[in-house]
Amino acid sequence: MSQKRIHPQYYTLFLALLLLVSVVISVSTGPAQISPLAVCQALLSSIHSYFSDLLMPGQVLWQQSVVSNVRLPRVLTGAFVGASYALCGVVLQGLFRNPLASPSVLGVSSGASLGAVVAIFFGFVAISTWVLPLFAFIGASITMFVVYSIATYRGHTPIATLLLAGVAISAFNVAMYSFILSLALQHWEVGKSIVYWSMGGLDGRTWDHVLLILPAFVVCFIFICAFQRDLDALLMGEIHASSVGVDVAKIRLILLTLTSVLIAMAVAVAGGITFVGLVVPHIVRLIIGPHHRFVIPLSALLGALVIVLSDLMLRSFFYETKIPLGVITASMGAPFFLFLLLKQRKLMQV
Amino acid sequence: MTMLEFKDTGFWYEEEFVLQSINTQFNSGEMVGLIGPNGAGKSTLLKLIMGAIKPNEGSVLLYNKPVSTYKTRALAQQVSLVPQDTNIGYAFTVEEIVAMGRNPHLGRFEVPSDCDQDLIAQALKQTGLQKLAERHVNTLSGGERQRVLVARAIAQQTHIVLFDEATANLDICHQLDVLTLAKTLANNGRLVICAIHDLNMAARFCDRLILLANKTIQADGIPSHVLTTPLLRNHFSIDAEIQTQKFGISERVQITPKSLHRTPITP
Repeated sequence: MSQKRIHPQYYTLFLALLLLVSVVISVSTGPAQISPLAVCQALLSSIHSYFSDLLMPGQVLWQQSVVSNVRLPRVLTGAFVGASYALCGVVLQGLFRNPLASPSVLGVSSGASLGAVVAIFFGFVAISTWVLPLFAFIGASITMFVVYSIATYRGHTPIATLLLAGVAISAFNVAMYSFILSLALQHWEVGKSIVYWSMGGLDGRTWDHVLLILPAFVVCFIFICAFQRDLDALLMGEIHASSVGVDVAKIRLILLTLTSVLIAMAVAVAGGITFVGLVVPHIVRLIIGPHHRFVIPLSALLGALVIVLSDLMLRSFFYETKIPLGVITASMGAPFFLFLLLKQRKLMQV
Repeated sequence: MTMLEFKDTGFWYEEEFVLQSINTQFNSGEMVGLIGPNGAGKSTLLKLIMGAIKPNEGSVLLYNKPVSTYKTRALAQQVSLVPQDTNIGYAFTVEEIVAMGRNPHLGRFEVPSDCDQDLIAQALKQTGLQKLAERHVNTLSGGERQRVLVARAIAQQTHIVLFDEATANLDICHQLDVLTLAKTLANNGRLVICAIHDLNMAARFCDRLILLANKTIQADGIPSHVLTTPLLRNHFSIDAEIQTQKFGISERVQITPKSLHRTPITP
């Protein structure tokens, strides 16, 4: 029985539009409400002076300043972080042919966090803005390659060993993280910096944060798109992949490095956010199938959308309470994911 | 020119030989059956051809060039595989899987051309899968899934097609289906090498059989020369009745196992 499917390009278009609308609404929402129209006008006038005529008489410049200097960088940082986490989930689940593989399960997020905390504790962050993401990248890479090396024997990577190694290394990373935090708490300023950073979220994010994650995201996205056919083949298993010309060891090395870069940047700018990397790729696969040509862009868009909407909810309803972003992402996405899972479990023989 | 050649090839695993002193040649248009007891090294020999493992001794030459010097993509343009495992797991459609056969021929950002689409359509037609093209592969039977993998190998347009116990889990009808397709490929000028357990099927479809046992080639030739009472007794531990019938220039070998030539395993 053939199943009539909506072409994935329509989903891409729909999600892109939805993301655009969500970004505008999110930027317009805050302690001082700015109408979506005023947001568009302010954005256009920031892009080019020609559009500054669009500003209505009496429309104060503070609106433009709030939009372009405060809210837009925060929302864009969130969008790129969400897209990065979702992309990492797509790659790891494809590489290891496992629905449970995600940055947090394999310990890579905790490795990045440990690296970042080391940088803060020893005061390296004062040197440059790039030190925090660099240390996060070192932490993520070391974790990724330790987990992968432990689980790989004679070119084969049994999934169970990989996940167990990820859990063990993640536990070690968390222990080291707690140890450093307890040492840091003896020095109030350092301790405060670590606690503030570890809460994650998007508060106070600026264009510097956007500029940290944007180039990494664009480069990694293009590279990952270049490997979409290899990821398709790897979903079928190593033997299938190598029979259609995939150099499994080489592709894994390249994609793991790209994933480490993305996770490091995401963790450095917004802290660890669970759920997005695990579930967003599944939601996309359940809707449009496993073809990476569509799964990659759609997951990036949906990941961005989830974080933008979660941040919007956080600022709209829980402004006074410091609730981590991950709580919102998980409570919004989990019921939807379970609904899709129950609807399509016949096809999910994974 | 010889298409594929093993020259004093040896492969060991954890300091124990799996294959030793393998010397043989393969040519286009042949359908060769690799037979032998479990653990004889049939799959290892196929992995050496695929470049998945490298020989520890000697060499495997593809068009007089060691397989290990080919890049994975270049090798996949010459050699395709139909594996035993058809459990795909993810909900790819039949057409998407067959289209993967074109991957080695496409650049990273290249979209399949009309020519690629034609080859995919031809592969689907040749394997009788046109009507199932839009079906999710994990809704198909084992036999149908195996045909999908044969179609992928056809779309891959390689000179060599390997079947790694591809009929092991299939009923008799689907075994005939898959082996008939393999035979058609050989008749079209490709070299087909099948690792196969069913000796009767091997005798019926293969032009040539290679008996692997005790880490090396024990016999290599037409089925009636390889499937003999002493060889079956020595390497498969069975006493069997062997009937050979002449059909024009070819002959058909039929094996009927009679008894075990060793003490049966009792619980």
